[in-house]
Amino acid sequence: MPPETAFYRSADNYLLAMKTTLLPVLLVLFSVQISAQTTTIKGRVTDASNNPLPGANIFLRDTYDGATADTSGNFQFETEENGEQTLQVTYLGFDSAVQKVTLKGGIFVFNAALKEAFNELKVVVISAGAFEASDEKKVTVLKPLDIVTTASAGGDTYGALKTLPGAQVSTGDQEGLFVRGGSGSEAQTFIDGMLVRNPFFASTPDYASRGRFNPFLFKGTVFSTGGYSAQYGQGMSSALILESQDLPDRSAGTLALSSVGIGVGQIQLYPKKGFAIGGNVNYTNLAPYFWLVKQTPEFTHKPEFIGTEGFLRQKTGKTGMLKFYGYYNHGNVGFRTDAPDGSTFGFSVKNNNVYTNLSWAGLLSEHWKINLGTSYARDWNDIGTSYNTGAILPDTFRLHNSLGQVRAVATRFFGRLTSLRFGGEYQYSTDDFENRSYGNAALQDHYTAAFAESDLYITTKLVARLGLRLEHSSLLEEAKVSPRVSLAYKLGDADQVSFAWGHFYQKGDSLLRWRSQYGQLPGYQRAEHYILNYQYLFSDRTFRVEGFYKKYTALVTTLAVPGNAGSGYAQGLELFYRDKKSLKNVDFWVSYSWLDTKRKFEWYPLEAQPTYAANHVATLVAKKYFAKLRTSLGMTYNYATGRPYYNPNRPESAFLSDRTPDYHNLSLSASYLTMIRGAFAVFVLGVQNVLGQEQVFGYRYSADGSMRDAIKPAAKRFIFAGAFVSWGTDRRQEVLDNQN
Amino acid sequence: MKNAILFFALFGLVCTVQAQSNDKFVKAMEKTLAGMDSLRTAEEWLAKSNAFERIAQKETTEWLPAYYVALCQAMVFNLDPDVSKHEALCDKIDLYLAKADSLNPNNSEIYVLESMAAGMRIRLNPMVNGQKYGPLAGMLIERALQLDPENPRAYMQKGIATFFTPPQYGGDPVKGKELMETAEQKFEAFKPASSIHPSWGREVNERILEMARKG
Repeated sequence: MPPETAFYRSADNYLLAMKTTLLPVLLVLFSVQISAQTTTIKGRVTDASNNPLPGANIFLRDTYDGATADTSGNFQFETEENGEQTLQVTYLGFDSAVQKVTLKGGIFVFNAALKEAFNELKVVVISAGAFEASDEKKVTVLKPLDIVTTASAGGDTYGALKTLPGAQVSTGDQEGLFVRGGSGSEAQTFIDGMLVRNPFFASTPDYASRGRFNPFLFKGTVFSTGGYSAQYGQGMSSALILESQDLPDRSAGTLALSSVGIGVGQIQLYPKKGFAIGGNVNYTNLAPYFWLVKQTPEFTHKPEFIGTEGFLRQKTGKTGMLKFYGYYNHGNVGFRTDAPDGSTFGFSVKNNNVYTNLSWAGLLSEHWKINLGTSYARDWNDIGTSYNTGAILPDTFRLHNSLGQVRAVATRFFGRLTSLRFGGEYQYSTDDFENRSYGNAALQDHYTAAFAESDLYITTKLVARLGLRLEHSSLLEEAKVSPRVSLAYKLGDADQVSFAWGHFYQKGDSLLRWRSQYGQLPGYQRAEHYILNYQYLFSDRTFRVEGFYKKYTALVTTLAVPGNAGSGYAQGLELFYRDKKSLKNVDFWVSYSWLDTKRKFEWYPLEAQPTYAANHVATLVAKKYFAKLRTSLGMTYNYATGRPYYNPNRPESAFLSDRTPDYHNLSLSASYLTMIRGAFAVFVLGVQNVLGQEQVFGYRYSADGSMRDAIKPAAKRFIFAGAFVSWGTDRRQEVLDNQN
Repeated sequence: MKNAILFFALFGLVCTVQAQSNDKFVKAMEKTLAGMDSLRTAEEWLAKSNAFERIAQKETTEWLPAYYVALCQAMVFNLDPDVSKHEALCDKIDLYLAKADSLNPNNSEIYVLESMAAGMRIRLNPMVNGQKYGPLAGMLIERALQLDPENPRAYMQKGIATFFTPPQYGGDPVKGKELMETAEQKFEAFKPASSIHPSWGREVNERILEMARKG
C-alpha cells in the first residue's frame, strides 16, 4: 500500500488531527510571545547510494510547511512550528522517511537517504524451467495475448508453447508437448491446480489434434519444462499450469465466423453482486474446407466438432472468488489411408468429453490463503478400425475414462515475500476398455498426494523453494516421496541465475497399464531433473539460456512382459531471445534447443533416440504492427532436424538409426483490427506452411518391409480465414451503478 | 456552572480556530494555484504537485488538494520522458482521484480527470490496456457531462479524446472539433464556485482547437 493512503483514513485522522492541532493552537494562543520564532529546515535527499532525488517532497506533517528537493537533492524551508514535530520525505517509487524532530528556532539540518520501495521488478523469481505468461505480473516473458497472436499456433495454446525452447515442433503426427526428450504423455496440464486428463481432442493416428481450451479464458499460464513445484505431480517432463480468469471487466458478446466453423459467446457481468456468468458454443466442420483443398487420406467423416463451455464467477466476501468452468465437446472424424502394399487402413473415432472444475480461493486473514477445488471429467471414445475390408466397423474399441478429484492448499505468508504452502489432493480415476476380440478390461485407481513447499526469501535477491511431495496409488500399491529444490539469485537489476533439481514420478499411461493384465503391473517411472538457468530481462528485451540434465529410471517397457525395465537420459542447452524494442513496432523472439537423448521404453529393444525427438529445434516468431493500417502481421518459422523413424529392414544394432528429412514450416498471419458499429472486430488470415515445404514425420512400412509411405500432413498448407467480433453490451448503466 | 462556562469558552475558541483554519486553507490553496498557467517542465509540475500534496495531507476532508495533485501528476506524466515511472504515476493519480471522489462523490470535475487517467493507461500499453480502458474512458466522460452539462472541461476532454482517437476506434476529428467549440462557449459562461475550484483548461482548449481548425 503506497504511503499516501495512510493520510486517507479520513474520519480517524480527522479526529486525531483535531486533537493534535487543537492543543498546540491553544498553547500558541496562550503563549504567543514565547514561541514566535522560525526554524529553517534544510538538508539533502538521496537514495541509498547517495544519488540525489530531485523532486522529493519534504514537509512537516499536518502543516503546510515544506519544500521540493532541487536537482542536487537539496532543499530548504522555514517554519514557525515549534516543539515536537514529524518530518516526512516522500518520493515516487521509494519508501517514505519519517522522523520525529524537536524544533526550537535556528537552523535544523536533516538529510534523508530513502530506500527504494518494494518493487516486483527488483525481486528475484524462480525462473529455472519456467516460462510464464501473465497480465497481472510485471516480470513475465510472455503475455496471454502472445498465445493467440502467434502465427503458427492457430489459436491453440499448445501450438504457441511449441515456439518456446524445450518443446519439439516437428511432431505434427501426434498431439502433446514433447518436452526435453519426454514423450507426450509426460506433459500434464492443470487448470486452477487440478489435473486435466484429456486436454486434447480425441487422438487419431498420424494426425495431431488440438487442445480443448479457449485461450481467452485464462489470465495466467506457466509452461514449465522441468523442475516445477511440488504442488504438481504425475508429469515426468512438463507441467502446463493454467489459471482461469476472475471477474471480467465488462459484459460482452462474441461472434466468430471462420472457414472452419462458427461460434457465439456471451459474458454477463453483475458488478454489484460480484457475479459473472458466461458461455460459448462452437461448431467446427472441415467439410467445406476439405472440399476446396484436397486432403491426402480419404475422409469417411470429415472432422466435425461441437464445443460448448460455460463458466460462473462469484465474489465471496472481500477476497474470495468462487469459480466454475466446464465444457462438453463432441468430435467425430474418420478416414481411410492406402497402405504401401495396396491394402487400406481405416480409422474413425467418435469422442464425447465432459469437464467440470469448481474452485474457491480466498484470504482467511492477512497471513492465510486457502485454495479449494474439485473437478470431474469423463471421456468416451468409440473407435472403429478396418484393415483391407473397406467398410469401417464402428465400435471396434470403446475407451472410456474418468477422473474425479478434490484438492486443498493452504498458504501461510511471512512478510511480503516468504510463504509456506501445504496441501493435498485425492484423485479417483477409471479406465474402461471394451473390445470384441480382446474382451473387456477395467482399471480404477485411488491416488492421494500431500505436499509442502516453502518460498523462502533469504533476501530480495536470493530465494529458495524447498518442496516435498508424497504420492500413493492404490493400483500400484506403492508410495513415493519426491524432493524438489529451486534456487534463484539476482545478479543485477535485470539478470539472475536459477537452479532447480527434483524427482518426478509418473504412473504409466492407462493403455499400457491395461495391457499389464496379461503380465505384471508396471510401477512408477521416475525422472530426475537438474536445471541451470540464466535470465536477463530488461524492459523490452529478454535473454535466457538454460542447460539441463535429466535422468530417467524405471520407464515402462512392454516388449516381452510389461515391466519397468526402461531407462534413459536427456541433456541439452536452450536459448531464448525476445526483443520488442530494437526494431520499430516489431516484436520478435528466437528459440533454439539442442537436445541429446536416448531411452529404452515401451517396445524399444534398447536405448535409442526416441522417434519424437529432434536434436536441433529452432523457431523465429515475429510480429509487426502497422498502426496506420491497423494491421498486424505475424510470421513463425519452425525448423527441426530429422526425427528417428523405425525401419524394419535394419538390424537391432541399427535400431532407430534412420532420420526423416529436416522439418521446415513458415506460417504467416495477418489480422486487421477495426470497429463495426461500436464492436471490436478482428479479421484474421493465416497460412501454415506457406512455402509448401515437404514435411515428413516418419514412414509406414508394408508388412514385409519392402515398401513404405511417408507420414505427412493431410495437406501441404492449411489456410484459415475468420472474423471475430466482440461487443461490450452498453455498460454505461453498469459504470453508474458501480460509482454510486 | 464553571464547567459550562469553560465549555462555552472553549467551544467559541474551537469555532474561531476552525474558521481561521479554513481561511488559512483557502489562502494556502490560492497561493499554490497562483502561477499554474506558467508551468512548463515536469520538474515544475512535480514541485506544484508536492505543494498540493502537503495541503492534502493536512486537510484530510478537502477534495480540492487531492484533485489538484492528480491534475499536476497528469501533467508530469505528459512531460516526463522517463517511461519507467509512468505506471507508478498512473497508480498515484488513481489513488488521489479515488480520495477526491470519496470526499466529494458525483463531481463532474473528478470524472473528467478519471476519464483522462483512463486515457493515460491506454498510452502506457495500447495493445493490452486498449480494450479495457478505451470504453471506460468514454463512459467516464459521459458521466462527467451528465453530472454537469455546463462543465467546459468535460466537453474539452471529450473533444480532445475524440479528436486524437483513430477513426477505427470511434474517433472523429470533425466531431472532436465541434466538441472543443462547445467547450469554448462553455468556458465563456463558466464561473468557478470559488477562487480555488477548478477553472483551468481554456488555453489548452484554444491551442488544440486552433490545431483542429488548421486541419
